[in-house]
This record gives sequence, C-alpha cells and structure tokens, in this order.
Amino acid sequence: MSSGNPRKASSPAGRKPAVPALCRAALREVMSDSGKLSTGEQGASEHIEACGFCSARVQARSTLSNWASARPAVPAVLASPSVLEGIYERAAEAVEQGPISTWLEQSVVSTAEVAASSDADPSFLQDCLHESASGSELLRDFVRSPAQPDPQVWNGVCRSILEGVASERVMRRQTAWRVLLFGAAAAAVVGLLSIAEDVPVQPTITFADLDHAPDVAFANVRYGSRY
Amino acid sequence: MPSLRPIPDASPIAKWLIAAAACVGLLVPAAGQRAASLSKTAPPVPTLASIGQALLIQDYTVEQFRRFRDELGNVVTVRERLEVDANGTARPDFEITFLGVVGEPAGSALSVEWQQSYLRFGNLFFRHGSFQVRDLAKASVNYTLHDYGQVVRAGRMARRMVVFPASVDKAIWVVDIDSVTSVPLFIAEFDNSLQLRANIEALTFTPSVQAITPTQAAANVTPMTNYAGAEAFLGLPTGLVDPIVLVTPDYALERIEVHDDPINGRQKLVMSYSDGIDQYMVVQTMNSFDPFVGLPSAVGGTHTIGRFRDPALSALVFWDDQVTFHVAGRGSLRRLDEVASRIYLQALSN
Repeated sequence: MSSGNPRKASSPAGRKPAVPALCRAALREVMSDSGKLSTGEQGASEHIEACGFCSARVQARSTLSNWASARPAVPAVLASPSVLEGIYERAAEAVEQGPISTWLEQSVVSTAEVAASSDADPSFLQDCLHESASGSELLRDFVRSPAQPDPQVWNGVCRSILEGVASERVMRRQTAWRVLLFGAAAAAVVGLLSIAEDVPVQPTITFADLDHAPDVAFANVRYGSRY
Repeated sequence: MPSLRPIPDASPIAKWLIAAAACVGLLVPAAGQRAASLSKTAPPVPTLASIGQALLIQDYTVEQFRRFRDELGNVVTVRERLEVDANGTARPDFEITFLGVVGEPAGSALSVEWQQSYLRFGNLFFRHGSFQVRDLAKASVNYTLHDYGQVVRAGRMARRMVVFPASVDKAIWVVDIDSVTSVPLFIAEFDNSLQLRANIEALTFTPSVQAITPTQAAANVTPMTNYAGAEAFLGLPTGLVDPIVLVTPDYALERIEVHDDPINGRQKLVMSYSDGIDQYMVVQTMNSFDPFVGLPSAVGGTHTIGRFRDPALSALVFWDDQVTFHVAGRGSLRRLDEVASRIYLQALSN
C-alpha cells in the first residue's frame, strides 16, 4: 500500500472515492483539454510523480485521449429505411397494447383501416392524408367531448350517487336532530338541578373517645357501684 | 466411688412381659373406678337445654360472692343472697339482698355505697349480670358446650362446663353446673384475652325458696311486645327509631321495655338483643339535650358518637332530635361501633 494513496485515507464507505484537493489541483495543472500533458508547475509535477493515484490518472489519460477525441461514425445499416420502418412498427405495436387502442376501438368515430404500405400505390398516400385529416378531427372530438357511456350504465351510476348523497343528507338531518335533542336534555337536566332542592349528602360521623362510661344500665351491670 | 456397671440387656420376651404387666397394672384400677362410678348412677352431663330449663322451673336460694371489676381494674367482692321463685318463664321472680362487702365492716362508706347500688341496680345484676340461656335455639348455634368433669361446689356435686362462643368477639364462660338442678353454682366470665371479667361463686345452695318480696327495678318498667306498641305507648314521639341491627345477625331482639326514670322523670325505650347467652342494649331517652353541643367535633356539620371502651364494656352515645341514644354491650363486641353508626344514620334520615 502506497503511503501516498489518498483513496484509502479519505474515501467514505460505499461512495466514490474523494479526490484530495492537492491531487485535484495537480491534475488540473498538468492535464489540458488537448489531451496533452503540460509541464505545469514544478510542485505539481513532483506531486504527480510521488502520488500513485495521480500518476495512474496521467497514464490512463494518455491511452484514452485518442479514443475520446475521435467521434465514431454511425453504422451504415442504421440508415436504411427498413430498419427505420421496423422501429416504427415496434412502436406502433407497443401502443396497440395500451389504453389508446382501447379507446380507439370503442370510439364512435370509425377509424379507417390502414392498408399495408406500398410504395407503388400513390393513392395510399392520399388515403393516408385523408385519414390523417379524420384523425385530427378525431382528436378534436376527443378533446372537445369525451365518449358518452352507455345510458343504462350511466343511469345506474347517477342513481347510486344520488342515493349516496340523499343518505348523507338524511344522516346529517338525523345527526342534527340528535344533537338538538341531546342539547335540550342537557339543558333540562342542568335547569332541573339548578332549581331542585339540595340533595342530602351522607352525614359524616366521627367517634369521640370518652374518659368515663356513660350512665347506662349495662355499665352498672359491669361495674356495680359507680358513685 | 462406685463404678457404673452397665445393666445387662433384658431379652425381648422379658421386655414385652414387663410392658404388659405395667398396662394391666394401670388398667385394672381404672376399670375398677369406672365400674364404681357407673354403679353410682352418675348424673348426666348438663346441656344448654337443661341449663335453660332450670331457669324456668327451679326454685332455689343461694348465698354467693359476686365480684365486680371497676373501670380502674379494682376488684370488689360483694356477698349477696339470691332467692329465685320460678314461674315457668324466662323471667322468674327473685329477691336479691346485699349482705356486705368482703373485707369491709358493716356500715362503712363503701358498704353503704354498695347497698345503695343493690337497691338501685339489683334487678340488673340478676337479669343481665348472670349466666343464663336466654334463647336455646340461638345459644345452640352461637356456642358450644364442653364438659370438663365433676367438681364439688357449695358442698354439692357439680359439672364443670366451658361455654365457648362461635365468634371471637364474645366472652368465654366457665360454669359449674349443679348436677341435680342444673343451676349454675359458679360462673367465671373471660374475655377473648382470657382475662377474668366477672365472677359469681356460690357459698351455700338450697333447692327451694321461701316466700319472697320480688326485687323490682328502680325505674317503673313496662314490658312491650314490639316497637310499634312501644312507640304508641310513648305517644309517637319524634326522634324515636326502630333500630336496624343487621350488623349483628347472630343477635335477635329479646325484650322491649319502657322505663320511667324516677330520678329525672325521663322515659326510656330499652331494647335488648341476645345471641342466646350474650346481650347488648339500645336505649333511647326522650326529651334530652345534646351532650355534644359546643364541642369542636360538633362543628362543621359532623355528627359525633361518644365512645367508651374497655375490656368489660363498650358504650356508645349520640343524640338527635331530642333523643339520646345509648348502645352498650361487652367490651369485646366492637361491632357495636357499626351498630351505633347505622342507628345514628337512621335517626338522621328520619
């Protein structure tokens, strides 16, 4: 392990190792955008020579700079129309599985059948243009007014909503009555209590010890003469 | 010094023979005694029933010591003569006569005091200060009788019995019952700490009686059949209550009387409760003043019950609506505190 390796010294667990400021400054000084190493300051060069991290970076740059500077060419096969059509078809197939296709199938406006493409049939293009016009109308209709549901279904939904609202109204009315009644009862109780006579409270009885026996017959029986 | 020589071990057979001989030697005389006793037709062991029956039917005259223990614990022995003329009821006619204080010369101050006490309270000494089976059914439930063998008392054969209460807050009685008449010749009352609280010891006994002048209560006593009758007799005074004594279920109302006190002229309603042998009283004195008025304990709406308790006596006093209430019984009967509280609450709620 190099004593000058900054990675192990300062890298927190699980994160990209932090580049020490000294290394960063030295690398910035030495490397340039052209990919060629500049001489830089003497201190930076000495640091890079001494620091294993920085020397590895410098060595890698010399290898990768050529590759990074040249833009690679697009493969010729990607430019062919058949490849593009394939991409479009795959996109259309993916949409067919989604909610848009379901809406299109259920919509009132009939969608025109799309014939297989044929370069030799010019009317196809006109049909496509025509279809695209009706498609824009379709879009306009979609935006303006959504598709109407089945009347029976919609009536059922309306009925259930109204019943729910009606029941809430009834509950609110009943709750209000209950609150009113409870308040009236509480007021009556308070009023009665305020005007009622005092309720007798259990008397408190205490015992007081006597020094001599009271004048009772039993005391005379026990003690005899009590003069 | 003589040497200690070991005793040679006897053979097992010899040991057995010696033990058998010892047993025979002990049993034969005992058997002979038993045979002798059986041949004398020993009197039956007294029962609560026979003791209660004696009160109803047996006339007798007895001279006896009656010992009192005062509040300070001093014991005074008084010699008296008791003549009982049975009349078939639980309240026979009787005459009790003061003869003197043991150890005191006749005419001394103490003798005079006690003579006055006997004139005033002699009726109470016999009615409430002796061992009596007041209610056989209740006594059988609340007490057990234990035989401790024959004794001689007042020159007569008697049977020593211990009357043990079923409840710990009552007295234990040791009584010598005359074998012929079932009259108690010796009575010792012990509290639950086995301290002697009262004692009567017969000196002479004669199972007959001459013509007597029945001893009357100092007050004019009118027996009543029930509380309603007593209340009507007294003129339906306010403040009087029919006590609810559910705290003492083992006690039942024994007697109701109206006493006219000759000294101050006040009328008292005296109600006695008994468990068959023990007693306590509830006394209601009409037209009396509040003894606790002005005391600090009476301030602030609290109600006071005055309580005196020592090993011999529990006495509670309280007042309401011109009536003074007394609840009194033996010292160990602490339930009387609750009895008094409940009667007081009853009076306050009327």
